[in-house]
Amino acid sequence: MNKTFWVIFLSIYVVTLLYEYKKMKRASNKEKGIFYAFSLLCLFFITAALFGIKVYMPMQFFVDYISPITRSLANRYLDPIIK
Amino acid sequence: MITKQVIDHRQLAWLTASILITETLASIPHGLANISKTDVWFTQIIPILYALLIASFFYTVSKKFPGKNIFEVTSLLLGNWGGKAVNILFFLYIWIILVRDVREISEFVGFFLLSETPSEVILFLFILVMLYYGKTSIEVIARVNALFVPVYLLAMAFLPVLLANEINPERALPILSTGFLPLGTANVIGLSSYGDLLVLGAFLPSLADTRLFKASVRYGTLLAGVVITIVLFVAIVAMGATITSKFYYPVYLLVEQIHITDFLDRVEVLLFSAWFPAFTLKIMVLYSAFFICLGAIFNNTDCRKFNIQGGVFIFLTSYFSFERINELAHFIKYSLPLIVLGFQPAFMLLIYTVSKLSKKTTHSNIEITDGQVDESENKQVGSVNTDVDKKPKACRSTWFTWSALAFVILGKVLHSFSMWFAIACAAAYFTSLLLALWFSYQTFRRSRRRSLQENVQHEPSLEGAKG
Repeated sequence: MNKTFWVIFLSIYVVTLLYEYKKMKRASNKEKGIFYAFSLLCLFFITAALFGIKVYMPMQFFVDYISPITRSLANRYLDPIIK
Repeated sequence: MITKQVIDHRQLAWLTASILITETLASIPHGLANISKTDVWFTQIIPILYALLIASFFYTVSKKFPGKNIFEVTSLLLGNWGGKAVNILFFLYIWIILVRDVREISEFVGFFLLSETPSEVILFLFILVMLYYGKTSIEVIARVNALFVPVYLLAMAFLPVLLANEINPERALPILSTGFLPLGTANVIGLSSYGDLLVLGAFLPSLADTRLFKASVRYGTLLAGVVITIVLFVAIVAMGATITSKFYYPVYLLVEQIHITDFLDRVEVLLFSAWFPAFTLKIMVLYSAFFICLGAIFNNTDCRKFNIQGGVFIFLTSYFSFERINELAHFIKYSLPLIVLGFQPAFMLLIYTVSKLSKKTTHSNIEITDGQVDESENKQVGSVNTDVDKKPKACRSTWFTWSALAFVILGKVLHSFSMWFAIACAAAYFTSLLLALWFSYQTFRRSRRRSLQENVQHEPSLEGAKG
């Protein structure tokens, strides 16, 4: 199911990209830049999802490194008080 | 340009309330109750004061730069590159809270309604709604929001009545027994969700009168704050601190307890049908601000034309950001407060200080824009000048909010002497909050009347100028 979903999603996205690409021909360089940056990022993410590759996001960094530190501090200082 | 839109003062107040209150049915109460236990209903006071500070910041900024949103003001004050750097940070902040909210709503739907559906499908269905609203403006979002939020607020405010048969006041005891540190920490966690209000800075030009903008945000904040306090109190007295802190969506569980006689069951479905659109519209506000901020980074480009790309980007980053609901909960509880406290106060202090230091530049900017703006903006400048003449008085609602904080501290200190002191202080705390709400409503109405009078006085002079 997962791969089917991503294949269908990728096809729909490529079709919309082609449709939007026509409009971008008259756009300014800045607008083209934003469009291409977004499109490339999205294509990269969809391909990663399709092949089951895990992309490391900034939020994951917070979850892996910042939250445990805050949590241990909270456990050290708050838990004895709460209990 | 995308930022020049007008919404009603009442719609702005509903939008403010919607941004703050929709989190109550989500994961926030779980984190708050985990730390502050039976005192969870005292965790809204510092967030409310912080939101009032944000409202005052908006007033200061929009008074000096009428017709400009917060991102344009940043660029004006800090120069092209400095402004861009700060706006990029703001953009990242909006992206983070947007991803958090999109993921949160999809997890909620996956948990309660579509438990067998894969998370990517739920996210995709939600993004379709986002893409639809992405083509519209804040006016449409505010109008739709004004339909759902009052219903949700009303239902939440009536929870004590609906749950009367489940309530046991003894469950709230001991009152104010939690230490200062846990209570303060819970307040900081609550503050991280109130920090979302800074995003309203993207819509500063949407209301012509700066004082009315401030009054609307203050009223919306206090309304949401009082209702959240009621909900948290009812959660404690109806379910107890242990269940509230153990369950990930305690308010949903609380609403499930409503049984009005034997035939009217599943009342939570009614409440959910008001909450879901309200939360969706909050996300739309963030999504709209996301594009306005992006436009400001690229020198006022209208970025709504990248709606599909932007929506798909949010969908994919939400999908990859958190693997499990636990990660999202830990992010909200342990990391987001740090992000909010690291970014927002520094940002507001920077903009406030620079705007105070560069007075001459500010005036010349108003003159420059004065020549470029249309008639409606001229009205805005006129109303702002009258605002500058009058010194703002200390608002009674602010005093009552501060007194609510004072009662919490007093109750905490006196708790060791007698439980009755703490109960009296808790009652005084809630009364102070109610009075603050009442006075903010009065200020809200007065500001509206003053704004109308100023517009009526201003119109003949405009007609004379035309003639």
